[in-house]
Amino acid sequence: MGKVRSSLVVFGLAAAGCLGLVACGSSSSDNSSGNKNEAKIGSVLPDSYDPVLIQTNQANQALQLVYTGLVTYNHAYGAAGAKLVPGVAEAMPTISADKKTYTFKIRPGLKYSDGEPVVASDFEHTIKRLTYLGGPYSSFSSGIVGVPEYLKTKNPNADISGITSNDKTGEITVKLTAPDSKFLYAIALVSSAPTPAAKSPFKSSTTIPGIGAYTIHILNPSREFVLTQTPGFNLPGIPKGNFNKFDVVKESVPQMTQDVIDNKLDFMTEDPTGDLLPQVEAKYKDRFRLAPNPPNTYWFFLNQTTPPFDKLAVRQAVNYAIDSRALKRIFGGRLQPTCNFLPPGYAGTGYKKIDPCPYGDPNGPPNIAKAKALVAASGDKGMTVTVWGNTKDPRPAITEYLRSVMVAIGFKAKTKILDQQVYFQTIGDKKTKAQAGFTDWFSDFPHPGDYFEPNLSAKALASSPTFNFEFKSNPVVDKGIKDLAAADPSKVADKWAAIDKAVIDDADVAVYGNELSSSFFSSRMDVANCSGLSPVYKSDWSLFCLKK
Amino acid sequence: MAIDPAAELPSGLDVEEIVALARRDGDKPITGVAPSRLALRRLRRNRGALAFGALFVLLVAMCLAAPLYAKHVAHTDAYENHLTETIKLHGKVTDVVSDSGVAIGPTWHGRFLLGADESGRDIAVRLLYGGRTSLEIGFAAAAITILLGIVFGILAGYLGGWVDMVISRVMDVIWPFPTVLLGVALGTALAVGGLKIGPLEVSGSSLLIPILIIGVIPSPYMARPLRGQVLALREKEFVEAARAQGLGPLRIMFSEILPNLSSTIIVFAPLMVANAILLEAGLSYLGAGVQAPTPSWGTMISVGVDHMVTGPHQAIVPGAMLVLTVLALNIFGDGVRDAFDPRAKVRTVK
Amino acid sequence: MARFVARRLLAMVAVLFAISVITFTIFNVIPNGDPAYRLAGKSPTPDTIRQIRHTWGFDKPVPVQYLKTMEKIFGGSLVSYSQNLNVDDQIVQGIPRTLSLAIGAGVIWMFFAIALGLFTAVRAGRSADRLMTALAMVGVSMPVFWIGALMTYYLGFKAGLFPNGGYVPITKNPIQWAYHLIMPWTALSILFIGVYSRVLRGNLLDTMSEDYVRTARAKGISERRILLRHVLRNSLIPIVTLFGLDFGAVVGGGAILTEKVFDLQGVGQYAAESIAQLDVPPVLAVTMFGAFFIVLLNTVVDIVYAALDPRIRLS
Repeated sequence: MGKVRSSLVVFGLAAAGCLGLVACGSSSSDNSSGNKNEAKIGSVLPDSYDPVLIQTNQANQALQLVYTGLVTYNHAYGAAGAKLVPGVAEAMPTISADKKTYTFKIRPGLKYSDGEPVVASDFEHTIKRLTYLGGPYSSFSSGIVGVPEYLKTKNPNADISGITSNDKTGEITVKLTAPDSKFLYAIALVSSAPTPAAKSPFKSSTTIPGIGAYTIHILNPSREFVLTQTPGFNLPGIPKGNFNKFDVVKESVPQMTQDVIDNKLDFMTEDPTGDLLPQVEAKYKDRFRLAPNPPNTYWFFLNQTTPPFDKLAVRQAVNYAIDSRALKRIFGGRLQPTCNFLPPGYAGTGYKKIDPCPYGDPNGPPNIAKAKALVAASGDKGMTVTVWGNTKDPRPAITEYLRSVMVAIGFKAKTKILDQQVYFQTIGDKKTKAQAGFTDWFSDFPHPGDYFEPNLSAKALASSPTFNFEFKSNPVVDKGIKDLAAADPSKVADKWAAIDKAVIDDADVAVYGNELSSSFFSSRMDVANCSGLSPVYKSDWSLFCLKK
Repeated sequence: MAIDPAAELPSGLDVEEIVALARRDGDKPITGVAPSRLALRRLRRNRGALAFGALFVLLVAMCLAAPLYAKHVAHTDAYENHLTETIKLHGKVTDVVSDSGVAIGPTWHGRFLLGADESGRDIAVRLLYGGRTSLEIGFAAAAITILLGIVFGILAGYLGGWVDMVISRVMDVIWPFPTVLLGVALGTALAVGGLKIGPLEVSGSSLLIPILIIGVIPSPYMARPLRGQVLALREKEFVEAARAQGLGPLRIMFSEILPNLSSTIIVFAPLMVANAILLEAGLSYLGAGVQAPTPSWGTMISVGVDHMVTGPHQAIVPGAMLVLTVLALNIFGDGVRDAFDPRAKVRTVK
Repeated sequence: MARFVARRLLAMVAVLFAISVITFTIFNVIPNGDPAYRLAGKSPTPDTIRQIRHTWGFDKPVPVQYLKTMEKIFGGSLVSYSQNLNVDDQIVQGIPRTLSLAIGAGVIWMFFAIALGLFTAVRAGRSADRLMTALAMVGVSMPVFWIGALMTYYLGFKAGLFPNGGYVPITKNPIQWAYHLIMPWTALSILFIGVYSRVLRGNLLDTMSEDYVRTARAKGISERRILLRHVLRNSLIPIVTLFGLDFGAVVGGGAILTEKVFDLQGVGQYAAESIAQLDVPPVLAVTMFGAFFIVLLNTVVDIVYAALDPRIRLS
């Protein structure tokens, strides 16, 4: 056995060496505890660093500090944070009587982060880039007069006739083809923030200066970027932020969670892994917040152009059979069951709790017997249904749950799981004929039109791929969108609420809940006073602060 | 030249080893008739290998009995979720899945013997059904690999000329292809789009897709050594004799040469099955293998890996089953090789 | 010899070409979602889709698209669909991580494989040999991502012995570099140790029965010296060959599972993530990159063999 022993010795030495390393090499990446002016954030990195090409919440969260629109969202908690305030423009625009013409005036003497002066025509340039590059939010600018014609020219420098700017006076006039109160909400997003024409080429670019409390420095596009406070930034009403610097690093979510626990990160943009969540909630209560931000709804889509969901009774059956309590468990407890399509975040602009819920208490047990009876009566019993879902955790489990519901109410069912990157475009393609499955919506901006139009309207069906996975629109929705287009949503909240109820009554969708997003901080952050919970961006880093 | 670029995965396969052997075997005289009886006798004497062979049979039998277990012991099936149910455990009512989504651990009772997964499904039941899937893929894919290996190996080796050229060149391309990469690329693309060849349509979630991928990709590992052997066999007297008798090439290839390859094939078979099971697990972990909700050991491990903190048993249990099965196959296969490989004597005599 | 080398190099280029065509075809023939849709984002108008097809060149015939893509790979201007990142940059960034994995694991697996191979060969047939062979078998029977997940949970998370994930460049802190990589190295090595030690054991036993070893023994040279100087040296050649090729595969991103389970963010993980997202440009580039290393090492090995053994050149 001589050799065995000697190799064991070698192994033992190696192990001892490792332990030695543990002792000598203490935490190397512990950056957060030291510098009071710097916060380290773990994140899934932005889908792009080009403001017109971004789409994800993580990108908006970071870049809203770098690029400010003509108007912008108030940096405040709760409903106040959903309010529009002047940004690069010196005041809210004047709107013509027919509600089709908006006139802005930019603040005089404003400079970009590179020192270049801001001119009125930069806004038009941004809209051109957004349109020409086909950015994810480009559909929001398609209502501007001249945009379709601009696209047809295939010349990026062609004029958009609906936008006129005067660089001398700083005046910008935008004409819409039809009144649309969503317009201001849309141009308040990062994707419409003016950037200097000379430094914003008609191709994807990562070096575009902006106007914001912070300036971005991309150290490594797929691993790390840094936001530093912009010297001399001064826009009235917009906070300058309490940290000199945010160091944003890409990590896997389990790693991030562990690092926030260990105080190696001050904040993470993601939810702690479902695996660690119970522990985090129990042990670090004071560092942890749960909120339905940004406003969102999770539901199962039911394609009304294919059997069996073309029948109201079958759609109702699905609604009766869904058990939100079960789904809440799949969400690791982070789900608020609901019966409304609009999320509670729209209180005051359209949310009114539907009570009683036509399909029973969303917090109570399902009514499988009734659902079964409805399916049996419909004559479609035994039909095969394919349930679609995507790979992002816990969506496979959600999809599998819906499959089991389909089986329970009398269908044969199977699932189809795609990667989330290709999921929505696949089910949104009419040719796919996806029958039913997972979908959700996180509000782009706090306007009910952003909920009903892309998901349920006839207008959405003109796009391919569409987000109207029902592939049919409810006339009540179409009429409402048209009638309410010009109105400020807070003035017509009741009417939006009525549309919400009509959607639920018609069982266009099978809604089950609003997801609670978590914010998890290091122990030095003042979570009680500076949680930064934003109804638009989920988290507003410019509100973060340290404990006193 | 030998390499399993995916050495990570198929290595259970011992490709290196087999190829290293095959490389030398090319120069070796082909053993004469009827060593198989001798080999079997040798195998019978190898009690260790037989014991693991028996273990494998036992595991297969367990998986085959899945429906019986599901119906009579667990009272559920592989798909039924029990998310909002409670069970009585030691006189205490316990949630199958807690309010915050934590699944119950092993109960060591009939229901949820090994606990539940995140969808509130019985892990023990899924484990047995998953084993059926993994074994099905293992056997079917290995059969494809061996069949393709035989056909291409014999055709290329015996016919030579342009047939050999074409087959060898195709193998040259697949050979250095990063196997996992190819498997995952095919698996992912096919899982999205399904497979359509003429009137034949395979849906993306069909088991046929991983079976085909896992079966076809390693086929050069089988075809190459066989081709080498056939090259040598082609020149043997008995083949000459057959040719002189006026037998057609097909007849010669499959009734004269094929039987002489049997020992190589027998040696390969268990290792190929083991390898296919491992490859299934790897592909499923990358989302390119078996598609949910069908259970397989690979999919169960990959789901379990995400729940290590709240329920490590979700990954440990299917992993242990898989390791046990592959280990049994490998050790049994090793015994088979020792028995059938002419050099077996060299190995035991110092 | 020069002709042989030229022929092998030519074959290498042909194989790489074939591989690139196959990969490109897999993603262009199998219907799997139009990239223009993904790039367009929410509710695009048909005009926008047309515009994107035009800018990205999706409106060109497939062979033209293939040529353009290859041109961009070699010109270093290929960008991915997600994030519009330069693919070549991304691969270059992954290389140190993947290389660190390959080098460390390579050293470990060779060391232990040789030790174990020698030990079992010397004791062939005895119980110690059987035990070690069985252990090697267990090693090759474990899915690497499973053992990796168990390690990260029990050693990393629970016991806190090793850091979970994370990578420290060797230039920054060599000790931390090794410390962060110990678990991935071990997980990847376990498998190779199993395979290599068994191959080596077989080779050693073969060599031990060769005539020249018997002669050496007859000459009275010590067993130890025979074993190390004569037997081991000759038996190592095939192992070293295999090592070259496996090493090439790992460097080329072949250790996808290990990289993923330990979140190393090397070339292999980049490949896996890109495939999952059906992000064709990086998949093509990484496949070419991986195949290049494997084919290159294959070719080198062939040429070295041919140099050593002239008979091969004739075949």
